[in-house]
Amino acid sequence: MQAPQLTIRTDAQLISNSVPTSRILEIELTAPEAQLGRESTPLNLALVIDRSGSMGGGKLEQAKIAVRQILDLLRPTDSVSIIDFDNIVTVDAEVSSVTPAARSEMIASVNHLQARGSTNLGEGWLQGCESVACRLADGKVNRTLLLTDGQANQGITDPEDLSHHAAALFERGVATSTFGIGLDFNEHLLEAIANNGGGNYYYIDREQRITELLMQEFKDLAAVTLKNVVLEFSFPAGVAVELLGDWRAERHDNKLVINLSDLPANRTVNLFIKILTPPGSGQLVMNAAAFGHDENDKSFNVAQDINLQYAAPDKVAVAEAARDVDLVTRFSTVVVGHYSNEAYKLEREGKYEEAGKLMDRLMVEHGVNLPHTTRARYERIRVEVREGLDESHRKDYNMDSYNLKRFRHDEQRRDPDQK
Amino acid sequence: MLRSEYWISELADLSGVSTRTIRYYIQEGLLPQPEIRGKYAVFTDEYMHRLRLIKILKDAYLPLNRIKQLLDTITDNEIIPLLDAFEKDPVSALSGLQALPMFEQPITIHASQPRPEQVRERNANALEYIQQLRGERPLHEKMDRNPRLDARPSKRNFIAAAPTPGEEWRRIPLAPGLELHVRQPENNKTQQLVEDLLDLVRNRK
Repeated sequence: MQAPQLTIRTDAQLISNSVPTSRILEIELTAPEAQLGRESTPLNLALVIDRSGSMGGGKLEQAKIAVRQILDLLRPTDSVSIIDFDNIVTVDAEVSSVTPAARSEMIASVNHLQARGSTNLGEGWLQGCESVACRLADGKVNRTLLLTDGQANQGITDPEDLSHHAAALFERGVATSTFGIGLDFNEHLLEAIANNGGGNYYYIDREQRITELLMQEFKDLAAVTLKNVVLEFSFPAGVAVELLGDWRAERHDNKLVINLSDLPANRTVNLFIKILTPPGSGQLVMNAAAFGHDENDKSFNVAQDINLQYAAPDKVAVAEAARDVDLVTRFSTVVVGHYSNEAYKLEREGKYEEAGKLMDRLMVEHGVNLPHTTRARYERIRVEVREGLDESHRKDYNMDSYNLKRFRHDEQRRDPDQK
Repeated sequence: MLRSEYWISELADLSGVSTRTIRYYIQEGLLPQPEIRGKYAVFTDEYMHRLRLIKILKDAYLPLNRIKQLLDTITDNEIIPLLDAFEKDPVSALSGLQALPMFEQPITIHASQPRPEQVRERNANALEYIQQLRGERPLHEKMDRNPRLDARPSKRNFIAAAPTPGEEWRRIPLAPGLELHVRQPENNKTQQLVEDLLDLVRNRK
């Protein structure tokens, strides 16, 4: 079994001995390849499907196709629930072992799904989590997939409540990924549930992509080689830290604890931390450590130190000029993803000027470091938020920023210009 | 001792910050709008202090928006002690800054984090958590199947009142972000009203 790879880097090694210095750290964790011939990690899933009126026509049909495809790929070691909701929540099927007989029964019940009613997103999602919680097991990937095209307009509707519950359930072992279809859902709500719930967020701009993106998430889950991954970053007192990218993280004294949930084989996660170091002398030592469980349910633990050297300001200035440009580019990309999303929240509230100013500051500070096409795109967005965005741009831009801040460069990443 | 009032050129000379930058800071909200006396703006000592602090934080490579966030959170009375602290002991002044919201803002803080060995124990709680949440909710709005949930007692109204069960609504998207909901069944009067509204929307498109 290959070990997970952990690396920690900085933009420059030297820090000032007399004034506070701002530095960038990048922590990179890569999940190992799956072992040949080994059965993949058992899944414990809930598929929660919105069947409210607006899902009628193509969307629900596409969702049904996706669910059938997923059912086809599940094995007797997996458990699954299918839940659908409008204003009423229905548990369509719930099996703890996906045998061929159970599969055909489930497919039959999925085929009968019809669109109607309004959207009790909160209760539908909670029912999914409950089904997962009933069969929760450490050796499994425990996750609810929530697919919706609407606002939460019944049941628990407050975005803060919902994200709080998502975090609480994630801490208790149930993760959530969210899929928003079309133009009528709240992208910030679904993203917050996924961010706090230790899952992924997907914007599905047209119904034809429902199957593609649900399958993408499913394939990631079926390929998990690291489970319950927690990354700890330790630093000396006096260092100020800021984690970018909206990861679920907590601060304990001189430690930042970041919960990365489950990682599929070969997936690399890049975390960026901005630090401000106090003046001092000698060395400043920090440490990144990752732990969790591997494919065989054995616990793993990898760690790496990084040392920054104190030096006189003139030497630091020289080092500054020679800092790792690629790392700075990656960092600025993540910062722009992180804060532009804040600008879209302001824009959505009608605070166009505030959103514009936030984008101004972001681009003045980081624009020059961005890759050319990203920069051009965000320069344009900076102008557009001042005039207000239409729903389709809001969703596109939010998804783009999400991918930037999570530093996802897989197939999910999509340039809104290339639609 | 510093005099208590300055013209902008005097403030620039004393602080070593150009008049153009001072105006920029005012425009960006890092400094408050000065009092205008006659044709000229009058600056007080507070501006001197705030400029000094901005300079220290800029030297620490803090971006202006962060400096603004910081300045927004401290009062005039807190600035001088903070400046003194920076002069005496930059390290602890900085750790003091750490406690300020500007560094904590992007980090979500909830209950403490489980280590993997604690996860098993916590797992037992996911179900309890949901059941507790459910226990606090009204009964009338859920569940086709799953009688074990319906049997739970209702304690307090956790959510906004939900529509009567069985009530059915037709959703008509009018434009991106705009929807019309019509309770079913519709009577003739409502139907006519809906048609009129739809015509209105169509004509505007």
